[in-house]
Amino acid sequence: MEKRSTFNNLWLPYLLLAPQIIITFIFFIWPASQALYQSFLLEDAFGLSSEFIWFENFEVLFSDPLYFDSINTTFIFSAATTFLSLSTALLFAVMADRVIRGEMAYKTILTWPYAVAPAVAGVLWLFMFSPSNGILALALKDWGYDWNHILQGGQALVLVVIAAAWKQIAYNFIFFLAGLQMIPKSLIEAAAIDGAGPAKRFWTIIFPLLSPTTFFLIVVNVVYAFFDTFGIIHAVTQGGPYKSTEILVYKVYNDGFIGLDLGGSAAQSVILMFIVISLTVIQFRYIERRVKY
Amino acid sequence: MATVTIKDAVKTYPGNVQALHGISIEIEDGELIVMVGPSGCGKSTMLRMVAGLETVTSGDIHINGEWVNKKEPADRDIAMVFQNYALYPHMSVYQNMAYGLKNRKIPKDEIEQRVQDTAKILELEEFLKRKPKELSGGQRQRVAMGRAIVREPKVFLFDEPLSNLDAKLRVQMRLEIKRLQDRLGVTTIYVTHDQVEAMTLGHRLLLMNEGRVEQIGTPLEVYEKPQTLFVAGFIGSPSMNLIPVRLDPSGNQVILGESLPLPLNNFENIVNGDSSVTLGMRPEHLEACETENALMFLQVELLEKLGADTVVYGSLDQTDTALTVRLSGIHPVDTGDRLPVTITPEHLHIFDSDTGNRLN
Ligand SMILES: Nc1ncnc2c1ncn2[C@@H]1O[C@H](COP(=O)(O)OP(=O)(O)O)[C@@H](O)[C@H]1O
Ligand SMILES: [Mg+2]
Repeated sequence: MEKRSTFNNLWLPYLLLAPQIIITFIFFIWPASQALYQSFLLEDAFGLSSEFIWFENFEVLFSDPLYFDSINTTFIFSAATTFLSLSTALLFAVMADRVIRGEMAYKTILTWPYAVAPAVAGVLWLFMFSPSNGILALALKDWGYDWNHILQGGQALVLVVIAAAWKQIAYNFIFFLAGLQMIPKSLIEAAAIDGAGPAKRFWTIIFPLLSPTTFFLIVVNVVYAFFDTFGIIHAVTQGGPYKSTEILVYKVYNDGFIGLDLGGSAAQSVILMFIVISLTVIQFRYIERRVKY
Repeated sequence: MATVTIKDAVKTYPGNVQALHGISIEIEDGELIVMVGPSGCGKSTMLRMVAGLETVTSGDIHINGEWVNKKEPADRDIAMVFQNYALYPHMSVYQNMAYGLKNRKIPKDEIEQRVQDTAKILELEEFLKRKPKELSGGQRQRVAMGRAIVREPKVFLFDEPLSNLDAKLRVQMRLEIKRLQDRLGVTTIYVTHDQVEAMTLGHRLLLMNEGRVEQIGTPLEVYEKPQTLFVAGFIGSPSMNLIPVRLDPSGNQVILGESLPLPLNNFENIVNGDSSVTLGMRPEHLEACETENALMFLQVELLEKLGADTVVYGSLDQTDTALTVRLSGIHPVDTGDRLPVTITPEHLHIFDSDTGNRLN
């Protein structure tokens, strides 16, 4: 027997798919192809004339040490953000998993940061770490640590990592908590009888069983750090000081809209597009199949 | 090898749910005790308190003379087999069995030796490299037992270990568990809601109902002299006929319903005034007989011809008191018949209807 439902009407399926196709076309295919086309053009700063130059924009890009600096910054930024938000979220989830009373309230409160707009999250942390009067910056000063992310590139990177990770903790927390609650309690009890203390139980039983969730979240968080942190960086550091927080997405904006190098900026967008496509492929390939018990 | 002593164990869960109302039993070294009762009666709670997975609200638990109320599960030297087996899904069968030994810092070659030996006993050698999900239900069950055996603990705890298996496998594994326990001689507490499992496995049974002990005894004691109405109804299949009757003051007969006397004697010593009692008769102890010897007549309503025996359902003549009779072999009886039946007096059970306690 035919399991799928079939349409006799030739046009109905297309009609039903139309909204999705139109949205995909207008908001993805069309701008993507525009970017691709633009990346082959050399345009003057006033947008008055343009010249088709094949891959020259890419050649220039790959011979630019600043571009590699930005790649480097992006990797450090996304690795640190992913690690910080995942580990904090896991810690919270493990603690929440033990809470019996007031679980709902706890979960709700922990979920709030996710509803905060990226720029607002950035500004929040910016205030707290403001070198002259931020509460955390002053606290650090009392401890004898001189905090000034406006001048110190490393500190600026730490600040955007904290802000970016903080916003993502809520999302990770929900997934980790769900993952933890899927682990049968009897497994933990069996391990306790088998002589494993709490830490050992965590690392030998719970953590391995969470690995599908962890893997999924790593991909999601890397994508987030790569592409969704523009607002935070824009609000906190604008890529500075001295480009020390200029991740790839921010460089696209900086070179294109501030530097008005439209072709080079488009070439960067195309590269980012390929990165996002490959991350998506990884996500689908592996998450659907691997590491499942 | 160890004894287990439970004294007045009480468990109150948060929210004032009292699961256990004072359980006491002394379990001898090498004994297999089956805790049996309907689901929700507190069997798992009791077992988990022995394991150290639940706190003890009040009362004392001793393992081999040592007070263990406050001890961690790992320090009690017990092993437990869970209903869902609780195998570690990301570890191979070998790793599952070795895990507890590794945590106890046993040398690697000894672990290897013990796992191999255990695998041999349970015929699991060829599966050692597999993950639990690559095993059948029966094999998983054996791995769960292997994980318990390999540790060589003082006490085995089983929580309904067979209830996830199909009927045939259940019978097979039941025998295997009995054989293993005989061979290893490890003190065992086995929890089940299945009375057949309880009767076949246990050296002694502890019958539980609503968090209380109803009776402790060997399978035959429990069958022959159930101490309470609950035990009488719970043990045996088909279950015992329990009929409310009045005792005649003379002690020579009981009166069924309004005025149907059953001339039963041997009740002189039951001083019960006019209070109501319950008469218990096992279906297999009621026999078909000649009309002139009949104690009562059964109006046959339904028959189950099983070959080995014939189960007859019906009601007592002129009453609507239901009665079940199990006749051995194939019996020429038919629906609508009026079947004369009798019973020998030593097979009669008399209970106080109010307290449920046995009177004879
Ligand atoms: N964690 C718990 N919290 C509250 N009540 C519980 C808990 N565990 C069991 N109970 C209650 O205790 C009683 C006995 O449960 P349990 O020991 O699991 O019964 P059994 O194993 O005989 O089926 C039940 O009424 C059950 O609802
Ligand atoms: Mg239970």
